[in-house]
Amino acid sequence: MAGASSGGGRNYSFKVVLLGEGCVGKTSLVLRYIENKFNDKHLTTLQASFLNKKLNIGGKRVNLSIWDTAGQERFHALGPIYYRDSNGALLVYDITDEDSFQKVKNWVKELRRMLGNDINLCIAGNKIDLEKERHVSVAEAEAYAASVGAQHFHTSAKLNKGIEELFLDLSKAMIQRAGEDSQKNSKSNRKSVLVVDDDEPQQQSGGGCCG
Amino acid sequence: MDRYDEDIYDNPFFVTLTTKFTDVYEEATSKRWTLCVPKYASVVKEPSFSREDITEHVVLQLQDGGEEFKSFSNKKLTISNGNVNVLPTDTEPTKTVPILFEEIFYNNNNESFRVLCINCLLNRSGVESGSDQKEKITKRPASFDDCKEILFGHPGGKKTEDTLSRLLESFSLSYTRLRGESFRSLVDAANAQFTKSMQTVLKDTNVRRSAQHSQSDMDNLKVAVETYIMHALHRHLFQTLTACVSSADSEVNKMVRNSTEVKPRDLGIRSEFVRNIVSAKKELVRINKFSTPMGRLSCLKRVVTNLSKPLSQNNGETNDPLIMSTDDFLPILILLVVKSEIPNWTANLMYMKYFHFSKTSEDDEYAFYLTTVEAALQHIRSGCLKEEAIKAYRITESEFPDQKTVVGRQLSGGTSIVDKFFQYVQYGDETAVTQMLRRPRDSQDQVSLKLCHPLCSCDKCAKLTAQHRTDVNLVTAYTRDDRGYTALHIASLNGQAHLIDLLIKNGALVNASDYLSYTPLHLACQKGHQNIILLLVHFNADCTQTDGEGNTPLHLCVDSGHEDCVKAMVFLEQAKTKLDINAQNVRGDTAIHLAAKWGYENIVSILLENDAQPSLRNRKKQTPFNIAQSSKVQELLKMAASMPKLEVSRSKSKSMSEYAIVTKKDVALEAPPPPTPITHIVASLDQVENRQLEKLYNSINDGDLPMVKFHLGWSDLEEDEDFEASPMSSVELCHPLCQCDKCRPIQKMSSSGRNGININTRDASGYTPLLRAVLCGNLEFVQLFLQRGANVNCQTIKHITPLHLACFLGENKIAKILVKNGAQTDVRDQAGDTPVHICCGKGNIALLDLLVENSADVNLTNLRGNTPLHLAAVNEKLNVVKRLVSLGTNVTAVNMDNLTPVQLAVKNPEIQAILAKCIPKQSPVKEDQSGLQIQNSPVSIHDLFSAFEAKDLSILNTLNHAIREFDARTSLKTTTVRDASEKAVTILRQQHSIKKFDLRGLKHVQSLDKSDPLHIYRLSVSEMNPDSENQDPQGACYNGADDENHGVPDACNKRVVGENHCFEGACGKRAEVEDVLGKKETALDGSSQVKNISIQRKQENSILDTNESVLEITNEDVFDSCTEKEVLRGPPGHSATRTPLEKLVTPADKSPVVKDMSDLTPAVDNHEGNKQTNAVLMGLNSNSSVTQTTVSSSSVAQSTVPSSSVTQTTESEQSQIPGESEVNDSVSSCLIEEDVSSEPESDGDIFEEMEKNKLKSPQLAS
Repeated sequence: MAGASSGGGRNYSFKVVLLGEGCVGKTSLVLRYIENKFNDKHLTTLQASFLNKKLNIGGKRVNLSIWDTAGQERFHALGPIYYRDSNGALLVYDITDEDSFQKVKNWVKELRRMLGNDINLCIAGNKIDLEKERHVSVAEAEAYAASVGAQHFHTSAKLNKGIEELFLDLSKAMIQRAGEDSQKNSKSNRKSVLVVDDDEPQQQSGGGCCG
Repeated sequence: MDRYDEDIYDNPFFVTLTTKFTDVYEEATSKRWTLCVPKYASVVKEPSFSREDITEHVVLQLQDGGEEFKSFSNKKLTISNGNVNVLPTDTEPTKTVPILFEEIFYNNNNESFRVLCINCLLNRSGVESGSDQKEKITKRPASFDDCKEILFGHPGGKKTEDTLSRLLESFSLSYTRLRGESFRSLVDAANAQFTKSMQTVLKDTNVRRSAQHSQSDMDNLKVAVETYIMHALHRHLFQTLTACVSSADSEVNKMVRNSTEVKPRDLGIRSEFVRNIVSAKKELVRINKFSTPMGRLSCLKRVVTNLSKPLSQNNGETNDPLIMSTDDFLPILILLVVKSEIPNWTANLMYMKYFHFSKTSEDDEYAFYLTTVEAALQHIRSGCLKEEAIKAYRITESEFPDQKTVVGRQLSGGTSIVDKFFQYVQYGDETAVTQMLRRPRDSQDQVSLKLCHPLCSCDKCAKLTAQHRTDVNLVTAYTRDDRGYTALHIASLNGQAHLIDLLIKNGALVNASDYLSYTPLHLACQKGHQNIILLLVHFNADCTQTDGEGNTPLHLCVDSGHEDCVKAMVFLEQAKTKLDINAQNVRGDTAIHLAAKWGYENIVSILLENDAQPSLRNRKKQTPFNIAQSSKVQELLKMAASMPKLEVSRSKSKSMSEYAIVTKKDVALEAPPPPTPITHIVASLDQVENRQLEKLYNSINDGDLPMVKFHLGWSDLEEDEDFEASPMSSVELCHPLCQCDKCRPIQKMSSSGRNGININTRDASGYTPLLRAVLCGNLEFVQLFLQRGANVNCQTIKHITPLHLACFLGENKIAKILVKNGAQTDVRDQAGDTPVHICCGKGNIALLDLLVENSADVNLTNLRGNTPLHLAAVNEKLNVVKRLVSLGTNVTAVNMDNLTPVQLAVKNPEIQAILAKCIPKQSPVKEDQSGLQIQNSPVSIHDLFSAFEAKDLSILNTLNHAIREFDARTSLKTTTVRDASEKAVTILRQQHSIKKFDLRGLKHVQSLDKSDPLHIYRLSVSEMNPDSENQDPQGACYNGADDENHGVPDACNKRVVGENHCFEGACGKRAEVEDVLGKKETALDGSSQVKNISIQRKQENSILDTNESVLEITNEDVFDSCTEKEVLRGPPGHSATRTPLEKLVTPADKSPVVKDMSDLTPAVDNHEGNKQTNAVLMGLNSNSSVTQTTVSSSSVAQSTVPSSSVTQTTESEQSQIPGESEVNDSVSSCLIEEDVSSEPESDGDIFEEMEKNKLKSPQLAS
């Protein structure tokens, strides 16, 4: 009970949706992040589609739920179902694949259109271990990220580089935004957002199909 | 275990560590060591912690990614399987402490380190017992009993339970009221209930105390309460919910049913998962067995667990877990949804999503699974799956492992020609297919050109022919692939309608079945290609053939939810096939079972309207009602099962053509006897959309124009279009569905509205919308209907035309419009009354004028022998009498009671005077010889008859001789065998054959449109059916009839055809009618004159007359011959021509001579049958039989009692039928009721009845 009583502004629950093309390494990225969690076979189902992690950032407790999405192009239309009422989005591209970066741009556009500024965006250029084959220039990627108000990280799931920082920064940003939100809108929590959004995706998906 | 949660910052142990042992903490965090923190409860009572305590709990990983750790105090331990194991030392055994949760902390450099919350201190032993107890309470309730234990498992809990169940009971009662409410209010209601229950439970002090103890206990309590109430409410709630979302569900189901062949590979599912899918599916199909949202969610979770289960059984050494990302999970879930055969996925989703009130920390995970389910459903609904399935099918179909090489290899011509052929068919390459199919013939031609001589068999030529014969590079329409598919299968599957005709023309078997016993029709039904279904059925595809699972094509299109195809099948069922709508497959499911299961509301109602039995049970003893998930479907089924159902069945009376509408009270209890094929056809005729018509008529009665339009399927757009009023009877379609240039406009005009009602649809008593509109006196509707092509001369089964009705009701305006639109003025109804009779009886002089202006005959007699003048006189309509007299009516006409109008007008001396004045000097002519009385016959006919009488006996003998000779002819002998009932059968057969008419229709459209199905048919008939060549091409259209008349030579048939043409052409012109009759004579002896037929009739009469045994029918014969005369004289309408000829049959049984004549009757029927709708024939038949009955009864009366007592007989007849005697008071109501099921006598027309009564009174007075 102690946690609950003193929890007030110290407990956060964030939903982070993981977007990106099929083979950019979304799953490895998130698995690498979670992997350090103790190896417990009967505890976790061995699936990388939904993962959660508890963080404690300077006494602020964060429960991070990471939702993987299907990267296949044919499931693109299902995106809204996944990303509605999420607090953060992690957009992953493959630095060796120009197309995947284009996809990220599309996602950003879509997210901004649908969710506005309610969502923290974080762009990850994955596979920096293949720096030699880089096709997406660092400058371009970072400039783009800055232009859409997203953080940009260079990561490598293979080498476990940049991933911790990425999630930490994202979490901090989300904490900050949550703080701003609660100041602005004294009673804003996830639940109220949830109710509003319930109807929205249906309309959106209807329109989205046509467009 | 994951559920335990506390704030580490509040933990005394952690606080001690950070405040008192800062050095340790600093070192540990900067080196990113792992901290183990015992949970709050286990350390809260500890007074203090020593440095040893602390250092024991700071551990560092020895090896990156390994399980071995070393504590700060150098103790070895391992962390695995969710436990911290302190390895045994000399003094202590192994100690295992469970890890409760893990949290990632960050040091000052933003580097992470792990903090494990463990169950107790690692270096103490005493706390274990306490932890066990704790464990028990924290456990999430797993079953309903667990929940009850939590809620009521303490002293005093009983009281809470009682309160709670009372609460639930009252709520359950009121819940039914929520039916039809919006989804949101359902959720709110249930949520309110949950809140109330929580309040109730928390009033219990015991529960409250434990709930306040910790968050997790509170969570448990919530779960327990939710489980308890949802368990109680589930039934109502879920049902209502299902009803709410049933449309979405049926949409999903339709998509699902159309994608059942999707394979894991098609969805891009990795093969590693395929094995796990089986167990996951096993788990998933149980989802409906769980009553609570929680139960279903955990079911879902188990599915996920099963999916990502490593394959340890087979390859235990590589225990690598399968990593399942959403890339895998989503397609797998889609596949599972498709394969699960659960019909209410949307409802399940909503239930889990919105009725799970006890949100706990684990819910994020559930939310993700739910989201994925939602995404899967969304994907299925979007229809993408279908495309994928088709695409996938095509890939497998083409058989080539590498799709890209296919083209290259095929172009080189090296691959199997069969594959190439099938690929062309699949993509609908008509020219290529044609070419390939033609090749056998072409090459044969080529070969024969090369031969020395077509018959040469020299070595060189033999080699050539042999080569040709063994040419493997040939395909035929019979070629099959490795599934047993023929080209026709593939064309049907891929919707290549234009290839169907080509293939069939080339001999493809329309009923060929593949390895799974699918016919092309099955595949077309499954895929929902309505056009192909129609085509295939035209080519006589068997609609009853079953596939390997006993499914008829109907099953498949119902299963896949193709509403249009179901309609097509049902329509075709009525039209030509004997498809059993209640056929059961191997599981005992009928089509309606499937429709109910998948919630296809519209299909259920279509099936019900077409006699599907809602009470049949499948193998599991389920009726469709039991299977149905959607309450809307359930309601439909319940209604169908409980409502008295209109069922048309044959009455057992000897007149075969009579149908009685039987009210069947309890369909559910008795299974109906299997209908004979004929009954089946007949039943389907009269039952055309009974219910829909009822609705239409109601709206006509209400004068509700928009509703009428709606029922008839007219959109407002069409309103402005000008519809040419053309009587439907004069237009013949090539085929009911023909869309050729000629037929399309007509099709459009009479285009079926909702559920196949069109402007000329008749109900059981033969009423069309037009007749209804006239009956209601609704001028606007009459005009509208006529404009839209309503048949102005339509007749009820009692032969009442709109004009009759208008006259009867005194609707002068309507009558005017009707006449203007070509209504025939001399049509007789069942009592023989023409419109003139009726308006004279009513004294409506304006109408009389109108009719006379339009060439109505004022001298026609009805069945009682009354002329309009008789009726006017009886009814004392002075004006009418005057007018009739001035029109030159025959004043001396005598009715069957030997009364003239003068005699009838006894009550009104004025009329008597007028009439008496007009009576010519000479008394009415009495035909002494035969007792014939010629009434009001026009001069020409009169002369004719006098001429007959003047002829000497020898002429009669010649005629007689001729007739006898004709009789001897074998052709006609066969037909003499027929009795009255057989005739009815023939008519039915003919009707049936008319429905199969496409044979004939095809010929007419031949060159109009190559893609036209009928064109194809013709080609196929001529090319592939050598049998048809034996048949007389002209007689082909009478195939059905020919079945009956095996013995009739073609010549006879031809003659019939010829006559028919005459009839069609003549259409009301007297000269030609005579011509036709003359032709009939030609058929008899080939030399007789036009008049002979009448002579012959006369002769019959005389023969009969002299014969004592048949004396009593004399009068009727007189009547008959009179009618015959009128036929010759007046412009013959349908009934005018038909009735007398029908009547000829009456004496047929008694006179061998006449039998020959009766042979002609079927021929006329034949003609009639072609021209008229079946229902007319039905009416005709019943009419003839009724006439017989009436005639015989009255004739008996006449021969046995004096004429003055005839009235008494009439009276007694009436008293036998009390319902009828009231008719005069409420004629119009009777008209509406039209009780077909009553006795034949009561079938007598109201007009006749009315007339009888009127006649009765003056006669009594006299």
